[in-house]
Amino acid sequence: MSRQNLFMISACDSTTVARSWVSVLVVGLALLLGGCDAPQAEFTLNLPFLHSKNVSAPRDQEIANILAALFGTPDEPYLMSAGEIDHRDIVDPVSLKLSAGPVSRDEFGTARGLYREHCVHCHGISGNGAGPTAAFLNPYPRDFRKGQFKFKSTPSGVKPTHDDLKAILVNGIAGTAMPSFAAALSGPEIDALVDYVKYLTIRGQVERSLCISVEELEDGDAFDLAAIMEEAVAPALEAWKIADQQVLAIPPRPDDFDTVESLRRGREFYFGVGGCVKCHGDTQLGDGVLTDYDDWTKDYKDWGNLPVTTPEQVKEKKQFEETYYSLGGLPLRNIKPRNLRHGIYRGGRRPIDIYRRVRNGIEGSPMPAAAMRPPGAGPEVPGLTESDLWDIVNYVRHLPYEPMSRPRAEEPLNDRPPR
Amino acid sequence: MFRPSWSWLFLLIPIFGVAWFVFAINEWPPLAGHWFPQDISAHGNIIDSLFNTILWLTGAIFVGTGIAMFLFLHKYDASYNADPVKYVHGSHVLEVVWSIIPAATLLFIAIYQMSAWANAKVLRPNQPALAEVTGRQFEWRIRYAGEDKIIGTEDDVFTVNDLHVPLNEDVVLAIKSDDVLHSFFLPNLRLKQDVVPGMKQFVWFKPLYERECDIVCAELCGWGHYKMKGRLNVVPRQEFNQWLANKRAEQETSSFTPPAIEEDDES
Repeated sequence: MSRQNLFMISACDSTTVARSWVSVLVVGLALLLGGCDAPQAEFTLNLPFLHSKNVSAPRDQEIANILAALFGTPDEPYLMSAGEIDHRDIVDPVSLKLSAGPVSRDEFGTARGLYREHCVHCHGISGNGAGPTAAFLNPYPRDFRKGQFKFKSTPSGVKPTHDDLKAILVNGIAGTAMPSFAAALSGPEIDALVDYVKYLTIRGQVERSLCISVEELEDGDAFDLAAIMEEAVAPALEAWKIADQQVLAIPPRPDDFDTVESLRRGREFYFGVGGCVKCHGDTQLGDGVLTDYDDWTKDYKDWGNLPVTTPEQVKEKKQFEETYYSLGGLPLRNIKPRNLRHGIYRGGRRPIDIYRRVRNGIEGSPMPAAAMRPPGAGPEVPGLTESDLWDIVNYVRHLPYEPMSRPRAEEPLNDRPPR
Repeated sequence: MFRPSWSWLFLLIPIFGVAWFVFAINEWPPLAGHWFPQDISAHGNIIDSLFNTILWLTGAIFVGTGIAMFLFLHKYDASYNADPVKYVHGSHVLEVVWSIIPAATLLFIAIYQMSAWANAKVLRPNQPALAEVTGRQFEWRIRYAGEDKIIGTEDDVFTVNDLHVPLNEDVVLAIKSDDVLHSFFLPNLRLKQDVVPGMKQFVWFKPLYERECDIVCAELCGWGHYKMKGRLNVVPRQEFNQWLANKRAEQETSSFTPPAIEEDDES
């Protein structure tokens, strides 16, 4: 504010300074008294989802009130135990203290407001993946409220483990705007943020359950809080608790992984039983299917299945889109299969990372889990075995090093003959 | 003689300017920790002495100019001079002198720094790059050449924001950008190079002390520029080899046993 006043003085012509002194003082005082305070941080409702479930006033306000009672505010967040689950087993209350609230330091110099310092500009105050910078990013930041995560050691439909989420904060996600926080944050700070992500996820999922349950309510009926705790909050908590038990065990990679034979088999599966070729394309450039959408985009409407063959249908889709944007949805974007020749691995480049994605699929994206052969079945039954998966992993890991994957060489700038 | 006048205010400029540097160089509060960080490179003293030479040169001119301006403002203050303003065409000799002196000074600096520039930007040690550092919004992605010393082969080792280099050896790094302009800056090694998208460039240095220090971005590259920070670790050769081997082994992790789940004991 004082900077603004200084600017105004310096911008004035010297002869008019005296005359404008009064007005500068008045404006300065007005700013001083009125303050240029930031708006109060508040959780926003999941408007596209409310709209898709036909939730309207006054139900939306009721939902907001219930959420505020169950989860607090961005400055004072809390979780409650539900069913038999102790909320402290899922999210450490200290983590919420460190992550939430405005950016500051407490009397011991510990950083507070970590989420608002490092995450909020992309992931949004409600974890809706639509912060101020989100629209400029490709891919968009993750919307936590749907409760789905892509890169994890557990199968689709199961929550990631604490370590899975932590790995993403530590390593970043190559090929996206998600950076590594390893140098910027300490271990406990990263743990605190992971816990806060869980908190936002649980809150977002309860919000969704409430929206869905509106359909079952008669006009004038109030929400049944006990039922909400039992049917919405408890399962949302429990999902995090049981994730650790469903981590995929990965058998050791066969020793022949770097042989031509393994690569040949991997290639065969890629074009054959594996079905990879359908989306990732004949040349592995990820150009097989370019018209699909991810689950977060389909949340409001299944745009992929929306027919647009007649002019009326096109017009209808346009109307849907406009409503979607008016509710705060980001511009629609197709999800593209990965270009396997780039050597950029969003979910990690270790063999086990790629194995997991091939085996379990990528939740929320069109990437399906591998079609495995039932245990004990003979070779006549179609499907993949674990050693087949390893061949696919070896093949995929080798693709960026094939001659045709090489990018055009850069022009070296200060590359003169060495001394 | 003292007479109150606005010109005294202008005298504060050289005084403040000098005081600022004196405080910073001597690490006096409130400017403690604002002067150069510790130099751990073999070539850093050359850069520092160049910096100091130019600082002394420009400092002397700054102080002289500030005082001259004050004296003139003071002497010809309108409140004490009733005489009308006189028109002066100028002095040809003076103009020649104040053109030649700066030109000669600049030429001196240009020649004086030539070998420093050549060593930093031209005469690359005859060895392959240890690693490739790619700047992207907002992190440094690092790719070690691995055992075959060639970047772009299957034994490359990938890290993020984590650069280890061997002690007491010439280190060559290839640097490039994934997206926008960055600047690869190692304050403790007195090394800075703009990173331009589409260009592969090289930087080289020789670290002399075991230290952990910062890699920062010195070119505004977007909203997250301030947090584009990595760690540089200078370690003895043997430790470096061990670290690289560990990273490689971790990158090749190819089996996974879920940690045992502790069953809740209800007894």
